[in-house]
Amino acid sequence: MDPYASEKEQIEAIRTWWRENGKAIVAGVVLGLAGLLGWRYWQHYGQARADHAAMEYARMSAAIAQGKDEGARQWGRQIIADYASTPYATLAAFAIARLDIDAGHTQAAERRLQWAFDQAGDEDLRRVAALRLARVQLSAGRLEAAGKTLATVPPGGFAAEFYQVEGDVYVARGDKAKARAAYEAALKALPKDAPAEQRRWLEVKLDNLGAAPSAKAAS
Amino acid sequence: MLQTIRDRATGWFAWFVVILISVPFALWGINQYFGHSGEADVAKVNGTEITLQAFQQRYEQEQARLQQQLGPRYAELVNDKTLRKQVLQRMIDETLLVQAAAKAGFRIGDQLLAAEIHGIPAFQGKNGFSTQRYQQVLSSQGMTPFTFEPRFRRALLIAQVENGISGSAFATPLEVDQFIRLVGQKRDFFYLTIPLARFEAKAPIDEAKIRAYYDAHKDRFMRPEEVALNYLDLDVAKLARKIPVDEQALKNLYQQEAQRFVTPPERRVRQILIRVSKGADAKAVAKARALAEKLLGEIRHGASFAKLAKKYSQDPGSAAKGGDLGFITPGTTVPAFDKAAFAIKKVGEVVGPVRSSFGFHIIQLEAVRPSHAIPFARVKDELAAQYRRRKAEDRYYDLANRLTNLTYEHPDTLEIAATKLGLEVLHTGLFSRQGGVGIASNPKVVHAAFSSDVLEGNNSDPIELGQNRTVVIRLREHKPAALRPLAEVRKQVEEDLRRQYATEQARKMAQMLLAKLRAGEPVAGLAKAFGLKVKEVRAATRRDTGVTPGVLDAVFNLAPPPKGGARYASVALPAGGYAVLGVTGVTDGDPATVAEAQRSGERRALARMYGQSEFAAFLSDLRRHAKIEIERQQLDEQ
Repeated sequence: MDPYASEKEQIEAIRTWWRENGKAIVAGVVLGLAGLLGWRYWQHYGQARADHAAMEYARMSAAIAQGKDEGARQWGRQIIADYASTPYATLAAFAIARLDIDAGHTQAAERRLQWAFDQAGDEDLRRVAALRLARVQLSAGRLEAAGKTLATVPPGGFAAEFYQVEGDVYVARGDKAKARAAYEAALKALPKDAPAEQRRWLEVKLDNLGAAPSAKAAS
Repeated sequence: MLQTIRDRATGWFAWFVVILISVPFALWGINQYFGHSGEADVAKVNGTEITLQAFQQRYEQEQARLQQQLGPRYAELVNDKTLRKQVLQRMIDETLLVQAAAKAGFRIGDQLLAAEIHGIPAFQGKNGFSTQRYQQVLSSQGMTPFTFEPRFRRALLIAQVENGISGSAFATPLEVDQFIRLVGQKRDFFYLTIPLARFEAKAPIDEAKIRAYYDAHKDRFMRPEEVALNYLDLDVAKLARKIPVDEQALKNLYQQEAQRFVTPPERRVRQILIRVSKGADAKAVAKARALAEKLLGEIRHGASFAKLAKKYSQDPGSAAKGGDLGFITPGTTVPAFDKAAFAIKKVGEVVGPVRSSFGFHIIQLEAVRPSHAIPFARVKDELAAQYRRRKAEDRYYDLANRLTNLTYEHPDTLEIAATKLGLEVLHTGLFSRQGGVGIASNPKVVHAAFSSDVLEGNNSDPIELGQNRTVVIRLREHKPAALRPLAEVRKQVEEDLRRQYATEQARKMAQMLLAKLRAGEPVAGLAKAFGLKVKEVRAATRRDTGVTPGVLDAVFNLAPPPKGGARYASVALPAGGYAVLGVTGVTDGDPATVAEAQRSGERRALARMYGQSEFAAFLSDLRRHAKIEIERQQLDEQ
């Protein structure tokens, strides 16, 4: 049953409808287009920034590879200042922290890692930052702070790493039983393709604490 | 209605429709419409497909790489199924890394991509990066910039993440100290070994025990499955032996290649060399030249070349012989000398000074031996071999083709192919999957021999044993795996039983000794009472040699003993028997006395380890959160 008697009426109906809603539709389309273009522009802008950050990061990496530590630090500081919201800033902070540690500036390294930890947007990079920060804190004898740092992030796939540092903290505290448990948990959590040296090193640390009483009876 | 649309299709209505349709195209591009279209996938990683084609390509690359690296041992060392899995795992990991990198905001822009490509030495000509060279190198690898650049961009992106994590890893001073302490630790200990030989002779063995052991361990006493083969061997070397040679053909060949069969022209020359060292300045060069000129002048005025050479030449090999170099052939001396020496017209003539990389030479021609043809008789054998080889190779390609067809068309016999191709059906002896002698030592042949196709009685596919040799095999005899009769293996059974008994006795004794040691009995007394020898070791490192294998690991597995005390353990030795041991002292490595160079070496090694393990953890975290679907069927069917 066609509600419209003739084609003429149909066309008339469309015209009326258009008169009533046309402005709203045009406005909607224009707004939508503007929004989309704006979004695409924003995306493009973000990508261009990331491209520049990547470029500078590549320069920093080249400077490190050539042993030009001072140049590398300058590039790194610039990336951190200009592109703080990109992951390149986190990596730059990692790189500078490593230079600091190797030069014996533990405190400077800790500040860098703390910054990386606080601002890292990516979850996994944040885990790496937490691990490294805790290790530096432990090395500086600040066991409490190291423990706290580890406790603030869920370890995810980094469980073995987290347990290992936890074990190191317990060793520093002189708590052999807990250290042993932590190292054992670390060995258990190691991913299949973990480097063999890591497994060996964990075993050496564990052996030095002596096997747990139960294991001793078996041998 | 439709008619009206058609009528109106030129007015505002048409425009409205066109704009409506074109908006999505303009905004989102049309690339999405040309995505995957029914291609088979081997895996899906968070929705990203790894296509069968990409996998296959990568797998073949990897296979080729390994084959080149391992050579003939490939078949024995590489399991295809494992390799498939490894390749797929790597492709999945790469996909995960690319996804994670994109999500975290990593990007390789066009500018960086270009800079990295320009930096690759293989793409550089004389004046830096060369577009022509770039395209040449790529096309020699079967690629174009369009296929290479996205791949390279991907690789760069992955490298950025990987190096960003593992390259910035460090080891803290505390960790380095700990490493030096533990890895450099030294331990004092003693140990007693309880050898199996002590008990083996006393093992109570009787017929019932032998029977029972044999029945319980049948899998140990199986004879492996064996096959013997018939085969056709198409070999260029063998074909060549049968090719008849006629004198005339060889003579023609000799004529054709006449220029190959001549001796080179030879010249006997003398020289005087005035050396100029590599970095010499203009003054030194001028001085050397002046001396050379002076000597040349003296020779031209009648002085003896040989005498002057003896006195002045700085060529240690020839000076004492009056500069005589003997006969030389073209191209065997430095270019400048070579050119000058072979340009001299008359015997006795002197030229120079010639500048070469050694210095200035004055050269005299002593004698000339012109080049001459080598007579046919002397090269006849060489020509015959060459002739046979060429003819055999031509025949080989033809025969190999026919061999393939004939053995395929008549899969149940080799005789037809043998008769038609004038080959002989050869045989191998019995051999197992471990291989045998002759062609059965080749892993490809062994693999084919135990394939279901051949075991069912069909001819194998042609197997290439090298560039110029092909065999086709078929089954002659098949001996399935079978239990060897007791009589044949009785000796082995008895040995096993003795060993079993002795091991148990040694274990009991070790337990007993361990208990006594822990109870405080002195080791010397125990050793004497049981007729064992105590071995004492002082300050052993983890890598000490000279300690019975197996003991050292157990020693370093123990916790450090309390002061003045000891810790004890017993351990089964890998060579059989037991050891009982006691650790009496532990000295940690001392970070303070380690040389700076060693310390920084340890630091770098530790940092590398931390870097690798952090990256492994990063990957495992990505895997944990990923949705990975593997199409087993696609993977296994290939």
